[in-house]
Amino acid sequence: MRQLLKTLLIAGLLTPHLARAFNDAPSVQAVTETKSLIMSTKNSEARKHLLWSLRKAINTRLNTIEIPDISQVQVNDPRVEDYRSLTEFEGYLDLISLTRLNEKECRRAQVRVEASSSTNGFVSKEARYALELLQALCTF
Amino acid sequence: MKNAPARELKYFVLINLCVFLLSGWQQSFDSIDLSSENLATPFNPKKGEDDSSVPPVIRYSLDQIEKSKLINPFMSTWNAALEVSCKTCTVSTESLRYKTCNEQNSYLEKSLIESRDKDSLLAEMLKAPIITKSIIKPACLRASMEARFGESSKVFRQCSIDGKMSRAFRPCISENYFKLINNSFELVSSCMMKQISQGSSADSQRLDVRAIYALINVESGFHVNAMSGTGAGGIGQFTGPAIKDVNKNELDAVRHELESNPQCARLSHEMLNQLEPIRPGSTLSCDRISLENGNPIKNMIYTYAYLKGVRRSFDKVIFNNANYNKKFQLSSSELDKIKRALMVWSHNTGPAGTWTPVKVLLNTIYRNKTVTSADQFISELQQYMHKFPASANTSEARRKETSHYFPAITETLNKIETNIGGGSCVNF
Repeated sequence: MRQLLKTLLIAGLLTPHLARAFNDAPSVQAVTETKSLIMSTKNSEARKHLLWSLRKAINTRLNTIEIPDISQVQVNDPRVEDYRSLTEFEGYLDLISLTRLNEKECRRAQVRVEASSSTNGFVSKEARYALELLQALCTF
Repeated sequence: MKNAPARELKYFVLINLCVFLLSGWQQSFDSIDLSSENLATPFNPKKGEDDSSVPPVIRYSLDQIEKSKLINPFMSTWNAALEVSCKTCTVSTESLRYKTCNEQNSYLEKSLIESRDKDSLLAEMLKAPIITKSIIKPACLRASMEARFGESSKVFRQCSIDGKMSRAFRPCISENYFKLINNSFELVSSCMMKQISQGSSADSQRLDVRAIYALINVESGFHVNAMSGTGAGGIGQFTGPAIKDVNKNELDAVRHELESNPQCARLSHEMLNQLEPIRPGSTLSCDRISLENGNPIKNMIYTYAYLKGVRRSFDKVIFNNANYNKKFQLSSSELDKIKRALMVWSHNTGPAGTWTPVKVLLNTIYRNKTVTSADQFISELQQYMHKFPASANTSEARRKETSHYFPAITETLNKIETNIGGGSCVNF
């Protein structure tokens, strides 16, 4: 058991670090696992389907996650911020869902994600999180 | 022993891969239940709350139809309707007066006079008469140029031959300058409006042009050399990321569409093929404002191209997205109204700055019901824009600016339309 925990700890440390945006644990886990699985296959269709599954899972999460009454919460409520962040991230996932995984389309998606994040060049942590996934999708 | 962690890691990855492969690549995340469990306050309306209470409808709607269009279709022909519109716009054009230029504001006029003699699209715009049967009435464009910025406003720049910028007064609104803006906007709009709203009705496309007119009115007042302190420049007030996005993602398709229409092909050949693309660098702002680089026509093309990209993004993220599109139970004109509002809003917020509050709204208030009123949805979005902005817009100042942006644009548009005698800025 100790050996297994040690293995998992090492695996966690060696897994390439993802820029954290939201803190919702199930969603973070889903993104991390999706990235690992994407990187473990060279099959383009498999990679695209993995991303599709992740999008579906995130959307399910957004539609079931409980948040307080909107009219009562403060703007800086951490639950509101996390929900907001996960929602923004979901949009970037939609943008990186490509029909063709080739260098040209991947580069176009990267530029589109960066331009969508803001009007002044600021690339949000949610966008960077999605760009890491895009990089995994596009690296063969 | 030294290799033990690496070996175990290898087994860990292999186990995951085996599970993945054995379950087929159709693996979904059913095994990871992302439904919430054991969380706090359930999201339910308060008991006794009046579910039928509607937030205040946005006072100024972007799609007020010109009253003169409300002609019984069985009693008149489409030509008769045009006649009613044109009588108004002919009188308005005849009553336009132009300013006398002085030494401080004539810098653009000198360039325009020189341009008239060249063999170029710009020269044709200058030599042609003012187009009156245009999509947007000339009186509205003139109102924008006069009203948005004062004569001594500090937002204007002029560029030297070597590309250096210096502050300038508002350009003199001469007949040449007004004609250039009016005729150029008509040419670009008529050539590109179908690219913005493919599949929409002709009326809806004209309303999109009206929305773009309203947006440019606020952004630059249709002045070719307006520059903001943030580096946004020209008619469409472009920043570097937007230019980069257009160059990479939209320009090829725009070229193709323009060149497939003989009346619009010259736009592509002269503005996009013969001239260099607008460059995104912050030190290259003269690309966005100088006449030598094809402005204002080129900047108008980029404005349309950018908004085309925004619409495509929103289709992907919301309107063609199976998780969201079924939440809209609206007529096509009502849905177009929402799309139009989101397009305009995105110009200030960035696309993520608009889709984030839209998605939150759809996943919360509209979790178990559908959108049946465009005005109500837009009104609710104003509030959600403040509470659920994108990361780039979370400061209090930006929350206020972004949530007020669309209402401010529509309010300004309605004032202009009232001031020109009522009706719409659109010639239907």
